[in-house]
Amino acid sequence: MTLKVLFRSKEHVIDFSSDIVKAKDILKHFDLSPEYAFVVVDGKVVSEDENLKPDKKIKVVSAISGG
Amino acid sequence: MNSLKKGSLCLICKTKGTKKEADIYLPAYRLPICKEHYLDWVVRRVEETIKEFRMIKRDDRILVAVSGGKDSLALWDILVKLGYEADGFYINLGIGEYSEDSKELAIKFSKEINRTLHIISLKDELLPIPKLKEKFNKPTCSVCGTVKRYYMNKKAKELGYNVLATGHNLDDEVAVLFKNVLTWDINYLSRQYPVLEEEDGFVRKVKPLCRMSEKEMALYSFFRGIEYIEYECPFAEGASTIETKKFISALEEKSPGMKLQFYNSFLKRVYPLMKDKDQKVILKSCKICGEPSVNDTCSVCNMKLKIEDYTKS
Repeated sequence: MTLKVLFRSKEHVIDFSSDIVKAKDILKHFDLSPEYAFVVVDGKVVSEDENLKPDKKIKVVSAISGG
Repeated sequence: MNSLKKGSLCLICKTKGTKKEADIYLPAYRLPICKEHYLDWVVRRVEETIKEFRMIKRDDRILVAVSGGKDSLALWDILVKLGYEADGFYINLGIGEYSEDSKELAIKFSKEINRTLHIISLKDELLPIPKLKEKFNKPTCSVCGTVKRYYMNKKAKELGYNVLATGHNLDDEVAVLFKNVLTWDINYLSRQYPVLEEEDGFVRKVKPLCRMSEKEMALYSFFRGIEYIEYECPFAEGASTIETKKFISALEEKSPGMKLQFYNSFLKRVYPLMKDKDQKVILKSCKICGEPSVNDTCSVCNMKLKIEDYTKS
């Protein structure tokens, strides 16, 4: 499955070998932990176990900052 | 349970006799909660922290150090919601697109909450951060921190504010505490408190978000619809603080609530033993600008002098 994901103001196109992709797989792709990051689908925060679909607007928010 | 299970109900709605699906789950508090109650929960948590540490009095004039990031904008929002006289202060660091974007977001937010945002530019005051990095052989974040602390204190006084509020969150405080514990740095540990009282030319400094995690603040900004700068400062990418935070987060994931316990236990059990142990440095007034300084001339005026010499030669 191919998903378009907005992360840190940039769009990323990600190819997954499986057709079932969960929110936690996206976090893993960006090497992020649910302890400091979350996934938003169509404007709603979703659980890490949520199955993601290509027709949805997906965004990843990472809260970690070095400042 | 570390994440929200499908169909979980908001616990606060439940205590009020209503049923509503939770939007998020807070592992440290074992709390499934809906968006509306979450926004209120954060404001109340911050209010409790302000009261517990006697950070702000009702008649105080607060200057919020605003970077355009999630923490400082959310802090400003919460202080205004709590009815405090809080204006913003933005320093344009001159870091290209990052500074321009964050400045625009800070201005936009100030208009949304209808509060004054004071802006200064390092280009006019000293030199932009990339040029300072070039000129002085010191880590960029360290020079940037020195310069920001200097102007925050100086401008707060000049503009008539007696409290300076910063958006340091629990993760920031725990990362610093962790590093200071690794080196047993008594001087730093003895000053790691969320309130630094006004003294020796410094205005009172407060950190009302010290018990809110980074993710909790990002969720607050998201639910509140606050637009903030989402990408990292180019100079902070790969910073050691981020690695420390990731390490601590891995522990937190295994033991939810660990960060808060580490910080709270330090404040309750260790800080009281350390607070009088620091080596009191007698501060002078900088002979050029009058700001508090260890030496006759403060570090920022020293930078200015070196820049002037360099320009002349």
